[in-house]
Amino acid sequence: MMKRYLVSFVIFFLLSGTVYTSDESVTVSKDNETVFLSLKIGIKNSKELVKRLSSGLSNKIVISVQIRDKKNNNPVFGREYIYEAVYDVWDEKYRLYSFDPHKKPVFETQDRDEAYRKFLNPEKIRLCEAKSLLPDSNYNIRVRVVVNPVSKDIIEKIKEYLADPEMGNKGSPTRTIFGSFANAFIPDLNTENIIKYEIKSINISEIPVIK
Amino acid sequence: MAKYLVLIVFVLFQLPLAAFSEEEDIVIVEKIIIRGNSKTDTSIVKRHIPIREKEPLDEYKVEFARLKLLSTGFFSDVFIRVEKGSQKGMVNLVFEVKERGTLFLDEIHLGLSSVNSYWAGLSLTDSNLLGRGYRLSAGAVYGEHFLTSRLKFMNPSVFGSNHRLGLEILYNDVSERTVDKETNDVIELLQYRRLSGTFIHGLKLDDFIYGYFYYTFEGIDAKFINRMEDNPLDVKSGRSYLSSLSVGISKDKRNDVFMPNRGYMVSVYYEIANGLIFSDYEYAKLNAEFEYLIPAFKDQAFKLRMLAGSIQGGAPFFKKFFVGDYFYFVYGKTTLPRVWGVNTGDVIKYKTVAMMGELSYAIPAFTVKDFIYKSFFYFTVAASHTAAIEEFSREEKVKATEEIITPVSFDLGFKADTEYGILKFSMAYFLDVFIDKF
Repeated sequence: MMKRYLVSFVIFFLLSGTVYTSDESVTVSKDNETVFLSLKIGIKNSKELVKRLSSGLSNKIVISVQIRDKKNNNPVFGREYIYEAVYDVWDEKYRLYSFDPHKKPVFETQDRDEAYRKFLNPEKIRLCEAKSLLPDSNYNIRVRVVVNPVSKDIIEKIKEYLADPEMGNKGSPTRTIFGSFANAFIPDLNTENIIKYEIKSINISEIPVIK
Repeated sequence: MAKYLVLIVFVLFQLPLAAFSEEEDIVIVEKIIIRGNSKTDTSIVKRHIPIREKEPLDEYKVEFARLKLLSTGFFSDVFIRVEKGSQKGMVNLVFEVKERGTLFLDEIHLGLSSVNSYWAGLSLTDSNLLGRGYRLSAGAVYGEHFLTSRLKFMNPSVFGSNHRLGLEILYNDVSERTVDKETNDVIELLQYRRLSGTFIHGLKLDDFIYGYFYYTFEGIDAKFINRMEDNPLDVKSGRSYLSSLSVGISKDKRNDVFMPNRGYMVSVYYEIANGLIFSDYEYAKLNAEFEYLIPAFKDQAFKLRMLAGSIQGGAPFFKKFFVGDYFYFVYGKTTLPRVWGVNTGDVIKYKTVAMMGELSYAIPAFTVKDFIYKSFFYFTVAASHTAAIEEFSREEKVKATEEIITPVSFDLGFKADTEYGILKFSMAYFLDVFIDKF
């Protein structure tokens, strides 16, 4: 009896995949021609993003979507989407843009909370043609969201900046019982807010149709 | 013809629109404003911002400036916003900084050995002295038979240039001792005092290469209590002076300051002392070091480190390669390293040649929010050898009892990048202390 519970427990964990909070969701929908994705993105440091949204500097969300055939793991579709939110200090308006592939405004508001909500809930992201997903196959959808990514180039430059040999220290460093507190401060360069979502198995027939 | 006319009208109509929309996109930084810096001088903050007033706003540079300011260690948070300028299209770029404490523990020294029943001390560093970005370290270690103290000042960027200037003052008052292997009695060999001052000039040659120039002048006062004929400590009795010039160059292409997992670092350092620069000691010392990182499984990494050095001429014993500085833990032997040039143990092996090759493996460990940013466990195995240069030229052999027979030593430890600096715990040092004492 105990064993059965244990096995069920393990199976539950293996199958459960990503656990979403109430603020997060991944929804797939379709019309006659196209499959769409809608996201509710939950981020850890929401206070910081709210503050940054009013900074007048741009905030970006990069969404990478990959659809793979569940049976053979072959990629069926893959694409990156970029959304941007900027507060115009002169017009006192929040503007949301989509790079699809060129920058175009998609939403405008004076309400910061509304801009924040809209920015983290991109709706009806156009994925692939509905006919490219075969009815007798199941698919795995992986979504990777990066909020305000720091470019690799900047990270490399900062590392160069930090790669400063200990100033004026010639010869071997001191070895002590607790080693030494080196006189360096290293900023947390993992400034990327990476969130991953996954739909482990979905069939085209299960996708709700929208009008 | 009509088709061409339509096209020309279309182009003429589109051009001003395009020009207008491009103009709309360009935002000019009218002023750079720094807020929240009660201690740090505004000019020091601005020195780290690669943006000039009246230039177009470049968000890439803004993000770079934010990380650069954080990497100074002067601030715990940097928030950047734009505010309306004097007219549309002009903005003020505001840097809101939150200062953090810049005084931190640099080193902690605690230990005991067969010739010093205790020693303790520490070093403190302020990395933002007077809010000008100057770095000042001061420390002292007091033991049963020694006192060592060190003061170090550095201006890391003279007038915002690639040049840096520094001064280091070291004072040692030491009774050098050993233990008689047969009777187990402690023998006092030498009493000496050193007061040295080193002028440092550093130059950043490019993003990866640093050059250094040092001038050291020191006074030494030595008095022999017992002189061992087979292992004399090279220093002039009475008062003497040492004057030396050094140059060093290093290239660092490691990909991370705290836990690199790829890249390399190479450094060469040459020191010369002779009568021309008023030195009572004449010698030349060459040191070379090479470190190479090899990425392994996940973020783990191998580190290969090689170090070699040689001294020619009559260097005083404290300038020579001390065996404890080049070995980690060796079973049954003491390899306690020196504390700011002071030998705390009973081993008195000062050599003119040192070679060391080590292989380490680092495994990332845990993080603690807002306290431990990164940490890792490491294991090191090293092959080391110290010798007198004559042993190579005349094929002489030293007595086996005088040398550490096995050249292999080990270390196991933990290193963490914390809110208050980098903490490293070395098992080799811990074991050395206990082996030497007990």
